[in-house]
Amino acid sequence: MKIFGRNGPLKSQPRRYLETQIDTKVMTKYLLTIYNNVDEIQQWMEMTPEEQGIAMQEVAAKYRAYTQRLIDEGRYLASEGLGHEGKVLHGKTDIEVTDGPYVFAKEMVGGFFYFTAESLEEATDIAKDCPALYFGARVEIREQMQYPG
Amino acid sequence: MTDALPNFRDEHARITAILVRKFGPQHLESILDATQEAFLAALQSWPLQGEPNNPAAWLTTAAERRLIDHFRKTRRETELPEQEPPAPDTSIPAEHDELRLYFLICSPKLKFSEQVCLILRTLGGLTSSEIAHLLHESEEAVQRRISRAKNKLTPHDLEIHNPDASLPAVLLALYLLFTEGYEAFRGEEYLRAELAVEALRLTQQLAHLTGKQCPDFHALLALMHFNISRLPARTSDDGLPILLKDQNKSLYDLTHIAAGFFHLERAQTATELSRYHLEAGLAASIASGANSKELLYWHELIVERYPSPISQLSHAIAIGNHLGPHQGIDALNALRSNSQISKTPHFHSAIGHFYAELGNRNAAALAYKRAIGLTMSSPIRRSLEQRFEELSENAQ
Repeated sequence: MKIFGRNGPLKSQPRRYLETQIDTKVMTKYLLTIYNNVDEIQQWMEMTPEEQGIAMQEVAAKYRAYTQRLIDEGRYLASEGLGHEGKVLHGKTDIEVTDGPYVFAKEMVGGFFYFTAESLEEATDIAKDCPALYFGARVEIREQMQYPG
Repeated sequence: MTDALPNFRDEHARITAILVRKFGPQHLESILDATQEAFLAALQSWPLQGEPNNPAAWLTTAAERRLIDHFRKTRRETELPEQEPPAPDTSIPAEHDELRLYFLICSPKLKFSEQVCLILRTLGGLTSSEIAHLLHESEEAVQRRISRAKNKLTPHDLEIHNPDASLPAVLLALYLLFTEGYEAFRGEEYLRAELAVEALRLTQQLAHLTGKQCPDFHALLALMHFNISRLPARTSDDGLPILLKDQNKSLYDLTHIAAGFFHLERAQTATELSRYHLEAGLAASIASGANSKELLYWHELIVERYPSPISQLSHAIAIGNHLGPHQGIDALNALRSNSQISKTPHFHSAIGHFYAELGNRNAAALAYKRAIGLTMSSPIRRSLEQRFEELSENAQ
């Protein structure tokens, strides 16, 4: 086993600690989905680069703080932002593919956070602090399906 | 993750410059769209995924990828930008990409006003409505002019034809960029100091670059330095504008004042006084605390030669400041029939100010109200509201 590097003890230690915490508290995983308002995106597109820069500072700072909090509390699993380009597929046999997802939509999924919490109530409380709300998005919190055993 | 995000305005200009150099100015519109989309992509991914190690490179790559995607989708006949790599020209060193663009845009095919608008929109990053405001024109006219200008440009216009002939348009664009920075037309901030300082920086670079020591250049630099020297005194701690007579002159930046005089000296070789000369003279007087008589003298010179709406308005205000509120109101009323002047919030706030000096609270209140209704800048609105409230407080 290498002492330093990807699988070294230095890196695996905090990870094990995190897993222990999840085990003892019986944490469940939650998916927080961010639905951006298309009008808000439009508004941003109409700003000058300078205004965008100022807005971006604020967005980045708020998200940074939120992500850091999830990490500090040991509940952070993942978060990603999604691009605008996409396709919508439907049809059981003749699969139709159209450009999407946003053509007729009033809102679109902009990204997600994946984190752990003890209960849906706790997860909802955490979701209340999600900066996406502050920026006019709608967020949805969903519990990962639990299987017995 | 770093706390410092790149300056989006600089990045916008830089990326536009790189892509125009690579693909040609005829694709300007697509390039601007691609740059805009790259910024949106940044907004949507950086907060959730963390900022990239090199945000500037990330934005450039994202914009270029989107542009190429766009070319693939709209590919027609032989018009593949990659097939015709423009010959690099060396008249302005490559590290000054952004400035080179200023000259590229000044193609002799374009009219003077088209050159100026296109520079402000694409390189200055100003919106059409901001440009319209600066030029006292309608937004539609500015938009039409910009799209007409874009359509006129072809790959062959990539050469820098004659820097000397382009200089007046470049200087005017920098001057207007500075003016917008010096007092923002709308939005949350009274002034956009960064923009003003950026315009100064570009002008300084340009002076080095062209190696031409033309007097107009120095006059423009002088006027920028003198005005920037007053920036620290122009806003209160809570971002509200402070009137010239209430400014704390000890806050004026002496380094900029000295630089202003340095350039003013070098501007003297002119055989003809440009608008920049006169405005630099005015700015020098203000920065050195001249009295209202001297300021009126400068405003008279300016309005005589360059009777733009804003110089006529400033002249009328200078009359009031020197001769008294009655004369000020008369001078302002004489301009009322010019809707380009009487539609500005400054016109009504000046009338309000002079009526307040006369103790005519009703007339002052009415004028302030009109000004509040017209302004699109929230600090100016708040400052007018304060003055409006002070009127009624004094009345009790």
